[in-house]
Amino acid sequence: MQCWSSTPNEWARVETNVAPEIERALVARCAAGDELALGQLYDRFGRQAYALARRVTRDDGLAADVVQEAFLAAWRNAVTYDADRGKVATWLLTLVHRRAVDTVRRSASRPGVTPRGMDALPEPAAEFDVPDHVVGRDEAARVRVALATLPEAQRTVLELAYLDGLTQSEIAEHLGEPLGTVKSRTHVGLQRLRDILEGLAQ
Amino acid sequence: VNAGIPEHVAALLSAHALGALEPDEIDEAERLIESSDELRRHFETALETAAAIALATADVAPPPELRERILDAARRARDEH
Repeated sequence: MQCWSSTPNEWARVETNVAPEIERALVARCAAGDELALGQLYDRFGRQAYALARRVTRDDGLAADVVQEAFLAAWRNAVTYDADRGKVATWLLTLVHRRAVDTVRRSASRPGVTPRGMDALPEPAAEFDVPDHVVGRDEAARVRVALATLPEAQRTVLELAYLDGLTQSEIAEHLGEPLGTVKSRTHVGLQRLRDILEGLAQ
Repeated sequence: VNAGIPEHVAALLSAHALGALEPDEIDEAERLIESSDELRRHFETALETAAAIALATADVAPPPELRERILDAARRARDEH
């Protein structure tokens, strides 16, 4: 591993060309019980995982518990990871997201269909503010641009679903819109987000 | 891309990828994903796009002790077997 870290240029090459291979190899080593590999997966994705868990749960302590549960699930189930079915990043962040949403839905403080702290939601500019030093910042910047490019109504349902953990029925009630409208807006919004991201990646 | 997938099914899988379904709908979505490679691929693509949203959340450093907490728990889990 240390040979890759000798110069920034080599790191850049690793990031763009063989990062997915390294990530898959780390998961394979986890499946073999190698805790150093789990540490390296955490070093790579722990920050993103925590940011997501914290955004969904809006609680530092719950977010840390969610990230721990998700990495333990990854450790226990590493042998079931199938690279043909998706990137390591998607696999790990999905483990984090499911647990974060479950935590929010179990929470006694969940006030019916109103997302907690909606009034306190930061403006989009602050919400998606990512400092320069973060690994994967280029991708984060792309996603931020893509979300800003979406029609506001579509961006809103995607954020209420993925980041606030609301179901489509809850979103419909919260927005006072018909459920069918929310369903189609969610679907069209996610597809458009994918198209925009693909366009930006080229 | 999804020429063969009915719109309401594609929409159900998109919502599942975002974690926005009710429990009974989750069961239906899981059955569909298991039933067809085409539906499974559609879901995996939706999941990747949904996970991208996570990358745009405000960056915050996790508590420093979390790394060791996770590694401790992993060692215990491994040594139980």
